[in-house]
Amino acid sequence: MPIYNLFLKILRSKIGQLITYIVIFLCITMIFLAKVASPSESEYKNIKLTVALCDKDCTTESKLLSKYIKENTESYNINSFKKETIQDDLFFRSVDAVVIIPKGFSEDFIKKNGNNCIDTYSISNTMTSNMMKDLINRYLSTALAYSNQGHSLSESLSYAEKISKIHAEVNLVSKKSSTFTMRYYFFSYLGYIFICTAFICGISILKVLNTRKLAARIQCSSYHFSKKNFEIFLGIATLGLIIYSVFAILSFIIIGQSIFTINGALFFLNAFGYMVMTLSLAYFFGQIIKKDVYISAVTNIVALFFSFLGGIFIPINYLGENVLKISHFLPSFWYIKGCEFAENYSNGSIIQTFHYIGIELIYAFVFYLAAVTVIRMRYKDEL
Amino acid sequence: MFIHYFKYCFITFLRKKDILFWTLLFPIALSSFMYAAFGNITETTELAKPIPVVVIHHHNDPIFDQVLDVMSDGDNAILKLKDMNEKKALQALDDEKIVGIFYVDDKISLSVKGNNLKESVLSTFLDEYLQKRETMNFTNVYACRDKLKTHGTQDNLVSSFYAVLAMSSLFAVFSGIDQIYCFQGNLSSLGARRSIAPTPRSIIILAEFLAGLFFQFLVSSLAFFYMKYILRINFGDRILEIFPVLLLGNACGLSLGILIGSLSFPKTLGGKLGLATSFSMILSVADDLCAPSVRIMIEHNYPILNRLNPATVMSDALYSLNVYDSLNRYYTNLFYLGAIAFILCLVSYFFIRRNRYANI
Repeated sequence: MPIYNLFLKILRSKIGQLITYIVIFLCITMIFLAKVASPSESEYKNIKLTVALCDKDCTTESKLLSKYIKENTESYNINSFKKETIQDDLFFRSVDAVVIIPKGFSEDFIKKNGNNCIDTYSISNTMTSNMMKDLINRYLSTALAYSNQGHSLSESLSYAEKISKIHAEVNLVSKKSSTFTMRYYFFSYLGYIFICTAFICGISILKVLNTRKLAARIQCSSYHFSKKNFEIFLGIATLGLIIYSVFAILSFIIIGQSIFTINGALFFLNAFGYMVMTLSLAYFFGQIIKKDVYISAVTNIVALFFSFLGGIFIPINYLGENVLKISHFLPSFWYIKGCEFAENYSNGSIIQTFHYIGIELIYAFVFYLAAVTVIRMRYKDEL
Repeated sequence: MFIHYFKYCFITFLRKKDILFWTLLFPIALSSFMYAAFGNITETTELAKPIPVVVIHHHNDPIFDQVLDVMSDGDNAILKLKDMNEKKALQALDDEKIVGIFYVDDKISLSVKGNNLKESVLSTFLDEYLQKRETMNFTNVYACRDKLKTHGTQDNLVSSFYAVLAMSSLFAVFSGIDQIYCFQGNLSSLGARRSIAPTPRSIIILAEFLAGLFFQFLVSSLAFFYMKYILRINFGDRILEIFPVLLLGNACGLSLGILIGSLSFPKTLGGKLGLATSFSMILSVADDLCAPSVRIMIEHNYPILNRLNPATVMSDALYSLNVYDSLNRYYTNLFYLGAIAFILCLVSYFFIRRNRYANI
């Protein structure tokens, strides 16, 4: 099988690039995995805002207010309360709000009827800013009501703290699908890396095989056309198998036990469908790309286009309505849908996975037909 | 002779498709994809907009109804009331068309589907109502004085676009390598021919460096105009001050390319390009290109790295223009960029000066 052997020989020369992409993938995956939230709990828990607090008043009243804020938020140790440092931490969302209890707070509180007595830094018109202001206003409003009834300010604040312990009953109906595990993120980023690796290796090899001189030599030899195509197909299948196996092994190492479940099997099935689509797309681009310069350009553009608009880098529910309309035409969108189904599957039919794989395979078939059309057109031109 | 070299070097760059792709088309494509994907994210996750809810009455609570009406009316409404029966409401909650269901029974409860910010807003609202009902105190206090006043945007997604601009400038590294490749006698035949030309090497180097810088500056400016006027990214209102950042950023990229090109290892052009790509991508990733908050994480732990990374310095200069009133930090960053470019050029000079070849 000379053409298959040639395919493998060129593939061996691309091992360095393949390893580079795998390392890049692992680095990016690790960055994202570090941010993976802990799995959802069965009971509802309010989100606590991250707040940096500075008490410049240091009176009994300000200490009671500080205690209340600390109990109801996550404390953040800010480097300094200079305006620039606060702006940095707010801009990069290290902190939701910075609260400064100014000197003279206890006197101002009574004088100003509770209004404008605390300095706050937060991003205006955001939910976190409103929640933080609401937390303080609610507490001080209750304290003011007690104070107006004749209680001292510190007594009023203590009463307000007791009242603040009244909480509503909140029921968690079901686990929200937007919280994903490490397993989900690993397989969703495969959607990006499959394209990069398959394109960089596959297109480079096909470009060599389609070189005018080499193609002409094979064409005028006694080697049958169908045999040549079969060996190229075998080569592409081998490439796909190598990439798939490498990432399967990596998934066993990185994810561990949770991959040996029915959900893990669904992830693998879905990834297989996507790999077939990727190879078919690489086959198509392998027929039209003539220069080495364009390989990495096309690889990056296609991989990023599929990843950003297909929901690989940004969850689908964050995409705008118009972007979603385009996303439906991308195979990566259906791959991500398949990943979401595999992630959330608990019992019942798994037919949905085959539905998504079916769509991926239809795309694979369309890209294959497009590639064949290009080949036929090229032969016609040559004749 | 200077003008001759400048002109032809510029024309050569215009014809190098790979350089044009990485420095112009790739940043434009990347910023477009980012814009399409991120366009809705702040609105969905951060902005205070009315949250769709359904109220199911099993008992009457006129005060709660009154409060709901107030909270769902006007510009500052936090709720958007939807009218549907319990079965449809549960389905809507499951489909994430609404965020919560208030059940008005003997006591009022809330059903939600997740532990996210919108659910917390609803639960806080209900807490507040129950607390106020307990004290029968429905007066409002506005205790917080907003102290944060900036003239630019506070949307931190703009930092991704700063990173794209910084990456585009750092990709001038390819032009730098290309220049040194065509200049060194041991690397290319063109370099060998130039080695024996009577033109002083200093003129060739200066003309080509300036032509490369001019070309890269034009390309980065085009990418910036695309982001500013086509994608309508909010870079603040200090637009003119952005161009010195782009110019010095490109000077850093170009100098880095010259340095990598003049290193004795790797020897091949491919190897040098690989090293340049990896290095500039590492610098860009450290500048929030792939994931947010990497830059601030480095700033908290190893701030010196952020001063040495030209991509981070560029982003910080653009950020300070957008957010701060004072220009001190902007000028400091310009100084850092200038210093990095100068040091890189100086080191490259020591590598390539007085090169003589016995044979090539």
